Amino acid sequence: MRPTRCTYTLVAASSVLLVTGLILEDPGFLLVGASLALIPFAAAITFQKKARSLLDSVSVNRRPETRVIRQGMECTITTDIACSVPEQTRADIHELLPVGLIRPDATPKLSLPTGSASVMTYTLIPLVHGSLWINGIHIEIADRFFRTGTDMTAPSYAGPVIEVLPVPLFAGTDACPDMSGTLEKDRFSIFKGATIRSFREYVPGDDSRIIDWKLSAKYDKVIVREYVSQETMPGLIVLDLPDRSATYNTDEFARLINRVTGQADQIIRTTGKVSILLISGITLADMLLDERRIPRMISWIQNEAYPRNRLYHAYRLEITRDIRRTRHSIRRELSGTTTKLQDFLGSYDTILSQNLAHREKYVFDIQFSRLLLANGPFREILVYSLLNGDVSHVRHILAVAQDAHADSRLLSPVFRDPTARRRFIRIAGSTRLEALA
Amino acid sequence: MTSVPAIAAGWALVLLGGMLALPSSPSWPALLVGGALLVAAQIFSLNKNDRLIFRAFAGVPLVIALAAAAFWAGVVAQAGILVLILSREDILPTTSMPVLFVTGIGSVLVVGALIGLSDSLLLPFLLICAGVMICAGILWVRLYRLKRNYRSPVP
Repeated sequence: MRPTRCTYTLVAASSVLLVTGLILEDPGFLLVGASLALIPFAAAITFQKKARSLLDSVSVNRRPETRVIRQGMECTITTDIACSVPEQTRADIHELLPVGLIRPDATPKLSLPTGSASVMTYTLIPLVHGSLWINGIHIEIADRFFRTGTDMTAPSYAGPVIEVLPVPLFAGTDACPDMSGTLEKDRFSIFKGATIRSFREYVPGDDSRIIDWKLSAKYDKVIVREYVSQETMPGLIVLDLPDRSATYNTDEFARLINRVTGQADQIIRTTGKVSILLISGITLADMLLDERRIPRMISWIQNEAYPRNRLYHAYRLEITRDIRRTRHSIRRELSGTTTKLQDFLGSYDTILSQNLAHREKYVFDIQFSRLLLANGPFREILVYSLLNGDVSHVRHILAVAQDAHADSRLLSPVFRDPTARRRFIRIAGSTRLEALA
Repeated sequence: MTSVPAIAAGWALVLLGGMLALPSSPSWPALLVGGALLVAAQIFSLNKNDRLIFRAFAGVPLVIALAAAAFWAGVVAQAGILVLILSREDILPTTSMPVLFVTGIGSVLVVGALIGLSDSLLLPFLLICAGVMICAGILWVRLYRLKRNYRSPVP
């Protein structure tokens, strides 16, 4: 029980009067000093009565979102607290949480001035596997003369138990892990690289084994290591939206969106972040860079991935690499052809060389290249497209991706048809073509 | 016990103490100032906190002046002022008023008897200090036992 300023004043006045009475040998001072000391005692007895009635009336009902969660994932807990607070008394209540947790929100607490019930909802991220036991609540009671705090940890105020399953139960199921040591240990390795590339703050879903505990203790927030390895480099997803004015299969497009969402989810779980680029032809529609939170990524795709109007087309735009390749074939053909054809090919070659000499890069290529440079390197570039209508822009995307030296894949439902697949093999170069089921 | 009879009883005690001391009061200015402050706290529309402070600190010169004239008159007035202070409902809930009134007035009378009947003031001073410490200890133990009821048993 701690006195407030009001009580300190009364006690000080009482002490001064008592000592003055003793020094002056005046019974009046002594009488007044002793009487003033009675007031804090009366207030203390009253305060204890209030505290007893308040503590008796407290009831706690805690409801976790789920009783079993994965280590490092978010768990939302709703706590109903009911109590009757006496008049001119204040009760501040906060949860007593165990160690080994991250609270993305502030510490869950509430104040009850005269109310009788309240609810607080908060989110926890357990870093340590095992049984998670909410210890109870801490309540601070205060009136004008005194304040006191107590932990209410009896079984009726604590619990329930939340089981936190360890990460290794899930490791490797949705990722492409490094296979070092896999044969010896008969399970996926957690080795992610020998050199640390950077440190960053923990985000839900990170493997708790890459937490740097020393740095976390130093800066009082959970910090994880990012390693230099192929596995930890993020991926870029390019989603080619269909032309709104053209006809397209809506079911196929919905399946494409689902595949993109699933792939982005997997990349975030594997590397911690993902970048998504929405294009419609050679128009950059929207982009989401270095997104770490899965729910925000999903809602962004749901809101932004819809067919757009294609203002520009790329079928008139030649790629430098293709022009050079054409000139190379022309020179090979020049020797074994007739004079008339030689003249034609010679003229054509001259035109192509003039084009090369006065060449300017296209805006789309510049934008895409800068994006890859500024946010890369990317582990792989996945291009999702329905490939219906005008597909002249696909050649540009693949060319820029190949120039960035990233593994690239073009995924489309049309590749289920071998004829269509053969049509794209020639422009794909080193890009792998994959059919979407 | 409602607060109206309590206030009436408090004022009656204060007036009784004043009347007992008036014929032989050597410090009538302090008596007047203390009394005026006490009456002003009651008359003016002060809020509850200000009234408490006024009553507590107006009573100090009043009781000292009364006690200088006639010690037992000071004791009676002090009991009256304590009744006026304790009659505030936010300090004492209605249910515990009778007990605390009796305890409060009884304490003033006991302290008055200790001081008035003792030859020197050192012994009452020491007894008051010891009493205060014992009461504080009892209150602390009661609160500790109350808190312990709501904690989980030590494993």
